[in-house]
Amino acid sequence: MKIVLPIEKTSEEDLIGTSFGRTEYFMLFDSEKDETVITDNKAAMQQGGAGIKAAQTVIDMHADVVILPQCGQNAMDLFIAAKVTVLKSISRDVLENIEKCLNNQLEVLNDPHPGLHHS
Amino acid sequence: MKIAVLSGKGGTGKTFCTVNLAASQAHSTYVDCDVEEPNGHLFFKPESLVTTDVNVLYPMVDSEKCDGCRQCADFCKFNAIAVIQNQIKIFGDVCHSCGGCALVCPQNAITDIPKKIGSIAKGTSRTNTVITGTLDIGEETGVPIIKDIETMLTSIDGLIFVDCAPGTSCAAVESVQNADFCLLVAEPTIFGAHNLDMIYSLVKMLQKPCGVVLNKSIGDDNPSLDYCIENNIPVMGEIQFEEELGKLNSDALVAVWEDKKYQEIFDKIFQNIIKEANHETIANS
Ligand code: SF4
Ligand code: SF4
Repeated sequence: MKIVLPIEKTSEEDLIGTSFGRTEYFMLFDSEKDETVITDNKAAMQQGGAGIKAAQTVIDMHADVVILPQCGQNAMDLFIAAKVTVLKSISRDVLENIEKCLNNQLEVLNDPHPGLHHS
Repeated sequence: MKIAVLSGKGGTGKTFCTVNLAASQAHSTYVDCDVEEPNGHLFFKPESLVTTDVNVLYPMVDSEKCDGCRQCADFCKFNAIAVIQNQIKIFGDVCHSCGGCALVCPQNAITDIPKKIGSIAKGTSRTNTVITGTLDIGEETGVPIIKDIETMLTSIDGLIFVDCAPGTSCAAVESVQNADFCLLVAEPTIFGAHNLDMIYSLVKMLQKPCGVVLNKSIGDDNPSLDYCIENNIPVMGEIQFEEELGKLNSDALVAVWEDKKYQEIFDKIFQNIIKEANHETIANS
């Protein structure tokens, strides 16, 4: 499983970014290969539509799952369309969230039946 | 001559002042640019309305033609386009209708389609012309409506009073840019003075001649008046807080048409505006 998290680098340790669209980096953790890849968030400095561009970056990383504190509607629409599961982070601790994710202990933010209540 | 009437926030009596100023001057035009909540027509009750739609262009993609090359997404400065599984998705709420994506698409897969975002109604009430811009519910910005109104106004002669969007939004700026004079409506409270400061900064930045109407005045204590004195802003008039006015307002009646006393007050304000505007023009030439 490929898990992506928004990351803010601090002098101490890497934390989960508080804003998805404006976060500095994205970290991809591949649980099968047990490796991590870091990608810049090109949307961080953009004027508008940062959430859309950030979601595009995550989707282009071929994420299966993204863990974030909250998700705007536009980004959510894209994750649903790309079948990326959106999980809510429970703290800013990266390892803790990955562990909880692998144990299915994080809340799923995606609507499992998109469009059902709207159309 | 075009006079823009502004206030730092809603509820200061901006619409009341604009409606009565326009009604006090026969044959003038009242324009409601407060498109999210146009109220002036409730007082004027204009007749023989002619309504025109306001459209903006939104890009639509033909998924048969699109090969997912991403050139449109890379081009869009507003990040309104995403590409998933070689299909593009356009976000209408982020799109600024620049038309660029349709131009750069090598497959000609994108077409700009007009979408209605609101309307402009033009009618008459006694001798006044009444123009009302309305933004459809759920639409983000009224600026395209105000731009269309501005175009319409270029073919209207005589006096024009514009009831602007409240605050210092893009929509308010759009109305102020083409005005000859800005009338700022202020309440007699500390918040009123603070709101006046916001709107005065905008008008100053756009270098427009302006004056203040002190609305809902009670007694001698008026922080907005103090602000005007401090900043050397001319006061065009003062409207006392009166129960009778409140009653006329809640009955949606035009005060200057109901009572000669108010006709005199508003005509005086208008004369002061003319004096001040001429004074400014002479001073600047
Ligand atoms: S019209 Fe302009 S703003 Fe809208 S999606 Fe196309 S490029 Fe982006
Ligand atoms: S530029 Fe045209 S072909 Fe390329 S992704 Fe955009 S719509 Fe599709």
